[in-house]
Amino acid sequence: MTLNRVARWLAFGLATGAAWFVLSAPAQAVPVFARQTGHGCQACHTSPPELTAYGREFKLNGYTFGEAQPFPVAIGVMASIEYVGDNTDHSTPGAKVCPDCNEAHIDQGSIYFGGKITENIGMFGQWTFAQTGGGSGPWASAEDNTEVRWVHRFSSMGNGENDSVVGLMVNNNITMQDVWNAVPAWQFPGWFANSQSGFGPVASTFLDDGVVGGQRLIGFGAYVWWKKTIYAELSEYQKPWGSFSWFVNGSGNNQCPGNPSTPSGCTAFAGNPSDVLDHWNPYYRLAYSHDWDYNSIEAGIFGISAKTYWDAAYWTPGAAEPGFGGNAPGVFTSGNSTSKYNDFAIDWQYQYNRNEPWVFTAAGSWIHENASLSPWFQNGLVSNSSDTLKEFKIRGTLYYHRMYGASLSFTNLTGTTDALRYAQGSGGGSASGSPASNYWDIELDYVPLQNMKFLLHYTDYTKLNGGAGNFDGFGNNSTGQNTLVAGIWWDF
Amino acid sequence: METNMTRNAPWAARILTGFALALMATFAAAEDAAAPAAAPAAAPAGPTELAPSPLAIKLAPERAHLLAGKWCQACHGHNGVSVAPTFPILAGQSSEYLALQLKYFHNLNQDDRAVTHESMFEQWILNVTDLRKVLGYRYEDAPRNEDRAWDFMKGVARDLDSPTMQALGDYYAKLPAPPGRPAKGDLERGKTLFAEGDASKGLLACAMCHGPDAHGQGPIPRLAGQHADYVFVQLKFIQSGIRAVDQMQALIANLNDADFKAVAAYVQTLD
Repeated sequence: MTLNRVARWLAFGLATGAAWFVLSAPAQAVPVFARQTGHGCQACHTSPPELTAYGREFKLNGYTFGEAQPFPVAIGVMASIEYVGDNTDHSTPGAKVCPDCNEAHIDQGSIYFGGKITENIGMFGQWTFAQTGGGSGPWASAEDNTEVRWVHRFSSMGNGENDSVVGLMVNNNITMQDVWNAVPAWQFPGWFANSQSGFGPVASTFLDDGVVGGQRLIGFGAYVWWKKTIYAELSEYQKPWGSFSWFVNGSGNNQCPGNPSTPSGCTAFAGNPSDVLDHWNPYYRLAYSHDWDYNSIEAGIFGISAKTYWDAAYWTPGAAEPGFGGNAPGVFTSGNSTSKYNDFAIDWQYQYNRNEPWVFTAAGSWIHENASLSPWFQNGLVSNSSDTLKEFKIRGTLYYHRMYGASLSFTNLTGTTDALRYAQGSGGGSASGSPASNYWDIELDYVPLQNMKFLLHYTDYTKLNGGAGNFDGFGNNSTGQNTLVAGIWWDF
Repeated sequence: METNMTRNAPWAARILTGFALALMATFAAAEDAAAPAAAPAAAPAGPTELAPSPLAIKLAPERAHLLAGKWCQACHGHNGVSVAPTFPILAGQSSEYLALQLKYFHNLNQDDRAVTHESMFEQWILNVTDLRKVLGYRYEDAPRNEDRAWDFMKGVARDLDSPTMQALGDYYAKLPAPPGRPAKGDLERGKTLFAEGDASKGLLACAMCHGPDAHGQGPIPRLAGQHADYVFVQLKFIQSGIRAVDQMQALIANLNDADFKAVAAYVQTLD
């Protein structure tokens, strides 16, 4: 018998053993937190990523329930096929709205890591692999939503059982630290990250990652969760630096600031992905929560007061950063050096979680943004020195036996018309300069396993960037951007 | 044969078995002989009972206190009084009963009926081929669907040693039970069932074991002041065998949902 033959058999044997091992792995072997706590997914999630009351407790207690795991890593995969209403980009002959629609592909793969580290410290980490350039570019990986928490439980009355939590945290995306699913980071739609779609709204608020983008900044926060009733938080967001740059690893190359000018800025931006966020950008959050019977309600406010420097597109790499020891050549002509975004939001959520047979959630948010865009205005890149933008969302999600789900949401964007900021442009600009958009999202889910979801998601644009027919001035219609997604989401 | 064996096997045994399969294939080739059909040996599964160390016994009360204020409270509420009826009120509960339940949840980690020890593949097949589940009959479904036990408590009890389980029982037993609360339902019927039973349905008075005030004793749980909906769901589980309580299953075999609702509502009103 030749050595070659032995090697072949050995390889076959190893492959068989490995396949058998994977297929027979206990179903409990789902992401990190399930292994740590021994819970099913449904203890913490009505349907991922939405949290149950217990899931909120778990997060606010810093992910420290259970036993720390020796190998705290898990995998998530999203794959899908998309269709758009009209895949002809009328602005460019021969071009498609969505070049990679109509074919099945993997949207993204994630590695989850973290969980309990000590009795008082825990983390949630996600490293995501996705195709760049809206699905046509090469695959790249970047830090996704990631946070670390330190928590301390205490008794608010000073005696008896502990009933409240204080915590400190570091994270890389505004509102990812929140536990209710009406905030931008965790609201529906947006639970499934399909990489392909038609043209979408040109505008989104600072809170909704519309200016700097998620995972391009770093936040330090402190919070108190008082007697399961009051949640109060103060955070401060800024550009990552030094070892904290780890929190935004990789995101410099595949996420763009994009507002209010060309998104090509970020690709021209060499070096470590520090963003053009000013030093201190306070974020605040106050929420009231009340549970009774199988019901939970929440009502709250949140907001940020942020300042940004010149867009990276106009900052010569290697030059001194604006505002940090001198202006880069050719960057500013005059006037204020920063744009200011004041976002204020209210949100609410109602959850009915009887486990069997029905689970129901209703949630909504309203974000109001005042943007003072002096540097842009003075350089003739926007039409108004200040703009407002309002984003309204409402949704309902219903699950039957935790197996069949349906969600419906409505989003309404309105704001100041700004012909230069929301310019007419090929590929989904705005002919009228208006950011106004209305769209519906409907999703049907089938969850055969707690850690596996099949979904059909349809987005229907009744108004896009100020119009319906020919909204971009190049012949594209809002209905042509309607997108149907058939997807699968599997965490293991 | 292999399926049964591996289903019970802990992770280490799975890894060993995986390697054994790989080695077997290799040896079979090297000897140029057909592989024997016998399944490889693996460590026997099942709970391993170790006598608790004196230190574990000494530390248990403090551990229990910390656990209660940190993890247990997330569902069972401040001082053992839960809000959502998914989770039972623990304050004032019999300490022996609580320790027994924790032991039961702990052992679910080794129980071959627990769904989490079916492979993902098996579980998927079971799910997609189970017509009853597709139609929504989950209460009557197989034992693997005791969602609440294995979604929540199985994991909580997984890493507890027996002194800590006992200490947790003692901790909650000492907390003051909340007073009874008004409940919707046929309280008269509930009271009759509880105090006198129903001879026509073969039901003895609940009070015979649970006590005239439903305060329970030893392994018999306190029901007074418990969430009516929790009691109702447990009665359904026990009747269908999902929750194995043999003594009760026979007694309540002929009761219907209306009976369950009535008696569950009644016990919620008791102090």
